[in-house]
Amino acid sequence: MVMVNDFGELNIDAELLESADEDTMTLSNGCICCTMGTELLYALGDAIDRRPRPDHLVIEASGVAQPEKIAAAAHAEPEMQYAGVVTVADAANIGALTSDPMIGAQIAGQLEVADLVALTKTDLGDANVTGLVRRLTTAPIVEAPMGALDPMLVLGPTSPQTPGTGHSHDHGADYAQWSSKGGVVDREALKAFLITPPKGLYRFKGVFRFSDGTSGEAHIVGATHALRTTEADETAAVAIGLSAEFDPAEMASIWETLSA
Amino acid sequence: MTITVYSSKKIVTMDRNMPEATHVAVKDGRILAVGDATCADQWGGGTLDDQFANDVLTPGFIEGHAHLMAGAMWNYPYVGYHDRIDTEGKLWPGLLNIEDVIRGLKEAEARMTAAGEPAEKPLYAWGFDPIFLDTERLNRSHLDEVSTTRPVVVQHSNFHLMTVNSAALDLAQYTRETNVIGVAKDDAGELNGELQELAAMFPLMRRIGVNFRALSSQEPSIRAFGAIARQTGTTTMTDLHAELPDDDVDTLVRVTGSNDYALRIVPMLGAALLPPNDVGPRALELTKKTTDMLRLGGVKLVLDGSIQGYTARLRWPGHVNGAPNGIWVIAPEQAEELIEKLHKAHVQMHIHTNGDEASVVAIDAIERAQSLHYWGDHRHTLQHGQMIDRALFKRMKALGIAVNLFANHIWYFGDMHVAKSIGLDRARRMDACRTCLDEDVAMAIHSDAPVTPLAPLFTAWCAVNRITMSGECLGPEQRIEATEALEAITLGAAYTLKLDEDIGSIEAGKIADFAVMDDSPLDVEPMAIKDIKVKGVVSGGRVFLN
Repeated sequence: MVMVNDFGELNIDAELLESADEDTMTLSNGCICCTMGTELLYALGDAIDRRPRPDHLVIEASGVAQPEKIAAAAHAEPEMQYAGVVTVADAANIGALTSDPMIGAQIAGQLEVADLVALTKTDLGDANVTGLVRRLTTAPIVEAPMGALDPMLVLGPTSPQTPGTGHSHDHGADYAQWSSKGGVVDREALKAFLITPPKGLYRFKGVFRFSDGTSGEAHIVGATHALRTTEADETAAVAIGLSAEFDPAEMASIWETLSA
Repeated sequence: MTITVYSSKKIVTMDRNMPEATHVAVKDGRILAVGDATCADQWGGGTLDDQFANDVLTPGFIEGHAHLMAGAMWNYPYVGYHDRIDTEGKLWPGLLNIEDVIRGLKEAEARMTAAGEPAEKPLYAWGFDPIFLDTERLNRSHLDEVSTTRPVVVQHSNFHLMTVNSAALDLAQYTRETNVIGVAKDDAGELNGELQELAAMFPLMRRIGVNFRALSSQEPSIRAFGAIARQTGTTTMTDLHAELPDDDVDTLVRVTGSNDYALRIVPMLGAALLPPNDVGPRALELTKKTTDMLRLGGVKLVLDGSIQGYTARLRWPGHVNGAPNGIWVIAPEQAEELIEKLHKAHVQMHIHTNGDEASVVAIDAIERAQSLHYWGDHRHTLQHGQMIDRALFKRMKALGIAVNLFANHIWYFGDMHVAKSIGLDRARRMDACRTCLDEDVAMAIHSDAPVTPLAPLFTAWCAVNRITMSGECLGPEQRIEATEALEAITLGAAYTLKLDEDIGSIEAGKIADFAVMDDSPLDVEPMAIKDIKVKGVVSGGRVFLN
């Protein structure tokens, strides 16, 4: 499901999305007395209450939104799993926008809180634009020519299914993937892993059988992680990262150390 | 129709031709004549009604910036520091310490139990003010004393915080392991029951089913809104950021049109609630549904946040405590486009600008729109406009822009602005009523209820005295005369709503809307204006006493 939290020219997108109609909601960021964003939260509640419940919720925030506030609601709501902030930066304009005396700080803030930055219109942009964005964020930066971005990066890998431990470099793709199934994991070692994941790992998700007999699930998106207790029959985990930065072989060897 | 002649101790008309009178004749809900006991004689005379013989009548007060949510709040118990009167006229005495708050909550809990409510039904209370509580901070164990089965949720007065009990934390599935910003913990890592900012409150609000958006559009809330208006002498009030789907409009038309309803409501369509291209056409479509008691067609835009929340957009030198500049709710460039679009379509705009940089953006945008599409009497109004200085008022005068200043803010937040947000020098000229009137800019003053309580006489008191909670006079040079303040809550506010041809003064031809009180705001000591007792209102010739 796509929600468009929209103001101004971006509304073109809402019109484009109307073909998807039932799964699109147009939102506002209006609030009576300040900027609490109550409308957006009510809409999030409406989305969760839909039956059948949407598998994924993609929220297109407004041009001056504070995505971290929307993200905070996803972190707080136990029935939602936070899947990251993707900040789309127009390479032709991002330099001017981030130095704008009025909205520069808000735009830079959107890059700063991103889990992933997608650069569009790179053919029109200044060659130094990646460097400029790099100074404003620690998030991985990918190019998204014509706005095309691998859904895997936005929605995350599907539930791990590959049997055994494996890894792949899908040539031509932006990302490299690692996955594993089976075995028992040490809870404390997993916690340490979540706090300091291997270089270049962008997303990780898995369900675990722990050596103390309990089970749980864990997620990493960018710099954030979550661990909670759930039922799980079998350990299964999957990780992805940008091809240039993430080495599935390294991930596999780290994974060995987590096994109990 | 019959002619009724009301006698009065004094009628303060706000009509410059006859500032005071003793009698007013009413026919068909309108003012037929004003003057002395003979005022209706030329019309064949009328029936003398002496029920106000010992009262003062003024034009019915007009609140130009409030929200329907102010009525919805009274669905729930109040646990604030200041005395408040509810919609039934019942006094809720201020609760001065945590023990009082707990006692108040226990009473509310007992009422729920006595009413046969299920033991797990949530108890939601509002208005709690942590600033004035000089004791231990309210926490979950205090609220566990109230109930271990009901989720107990205490909303703080600023709406950015709540304190909840263990049952409420369980309902939201918050545990010791929860690692969410805004879900506060004590030094030992246990949840202390405080939930900060909306995201952290959201899972709980969703589960306890408190939804002010839904409540505000329902008949009980509209009736409650009417009741708090009547108690304060208010006969016309805005709902200054409304969604206004057809169903809500139909409900509003029906309720405001009923004979036992005294309040005229002026809802303003929230521009951010619709796609930008739809705002103007929808506003124009709504004007067709206008009735006497429901005036439609205006639009509200919000540009920045609040000064006390450090989210207003300030010009240099910004916040004295070093907080970064605030945020834009709409990017200035998009605001400019929308303002041009709406101005071109002749849709009146009420534009929220707290910080002075936001006011500049709005003024620039209107200037641009006016140069592209001339509109002689647009009356676009800056709402709050708290940091507007003389130079900006001069520009507003030249462009025909009105303002609705947040006079109540001086009392409620003045000390905080001196100490933390903008410092003494700029705080002294916040909500600059004197400069505004000197520069001949059309002016109203407001409460922003429920942000501060609705009470136009209190709002006038604030503008006349500029006293803060600590008792200081903040910016004595910006005080205005009582008669100017009374104009701001009557004719001045009517002008900003384009209703001054119908309401705002007591003169022949206008709608018979009066506030009934025991003394004249122009005769009492300035510090006593807020203490004048309001007895009720006359709305369209119908008498509604408290």
